[in-house]
Amino acid sequence: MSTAEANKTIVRRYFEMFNSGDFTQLPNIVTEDYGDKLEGQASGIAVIRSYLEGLKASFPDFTWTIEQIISEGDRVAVMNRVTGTQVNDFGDIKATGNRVDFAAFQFYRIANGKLAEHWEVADFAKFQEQLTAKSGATAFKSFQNTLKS
Amino acid sequence: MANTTTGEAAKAVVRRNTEEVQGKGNFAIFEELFAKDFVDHTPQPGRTPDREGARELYHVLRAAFPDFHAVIHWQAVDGNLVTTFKTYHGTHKGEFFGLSPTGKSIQFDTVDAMRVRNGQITEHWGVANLFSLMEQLGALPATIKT
Repeated sequence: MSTAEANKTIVRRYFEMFNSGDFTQLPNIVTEDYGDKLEGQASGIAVIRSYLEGLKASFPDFTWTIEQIISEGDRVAVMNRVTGTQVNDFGDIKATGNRVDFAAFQFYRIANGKLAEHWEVADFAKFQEQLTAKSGATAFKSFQNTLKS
Repeated sequence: MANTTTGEAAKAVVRRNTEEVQGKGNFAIFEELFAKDFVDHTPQPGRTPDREGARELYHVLRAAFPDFHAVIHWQAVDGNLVTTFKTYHGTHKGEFFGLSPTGKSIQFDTVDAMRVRNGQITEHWGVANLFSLMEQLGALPATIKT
């Protein structure tokens, strides 16, 4: 397998791990000093572990679906969809039950067969909009309450 | 495996669009670089997913931010697909999404993928951090401010 293909494979494994929610393989997939360039995010495997676990705690069905994956040199670029349901609180946003579905791009630098650095641009505007939209259930409940009063 | 020459040439086509068309408003180059049957898989709301839609969007951006330009961080190519990670910069001097000019300097990250065939851009997929842009312009509705 070429380096480019091997690099794609390690990224695919990372996505599959996230989707499964079982992070025991994390040390075999990301480096100890994993540098996540996401705004406000510190480096290190402990940070990324708690970040991923936190996402899954709020959105247990959070799924990253790879739509395109390209590799050159030590870089891999991924275009993916992010889908999930906000079953539990997310930061200070109370559980809404809302479904989110938005697009994102990721870049990874691979070193010694592991993910060493990460950059991301996601459609946070759509994420925010879907998260803060009143869910159908709430709107319906409010309608029912109006009828009762 | 990608042919290196083809890959580098494909990157150069995408870079030329970013720097000359988006960054300098040279629309003659747009006509040269965009294939007649260009398809935008992620058009902005209200724009057609074709060459006309892309041209219009670039005009809107240049009118709103006359010094609009991108700093390209890096590009990767695989076959005929080029991915570019860049940060756009500009000064808000014209109307944008219904917002009057604020004079603010803005910047936002974007990643896109473009397919290049016979020296022309045939397809586009992109994600821009418009959330950050609207935040910088002070345009987020109060209900979604965090």
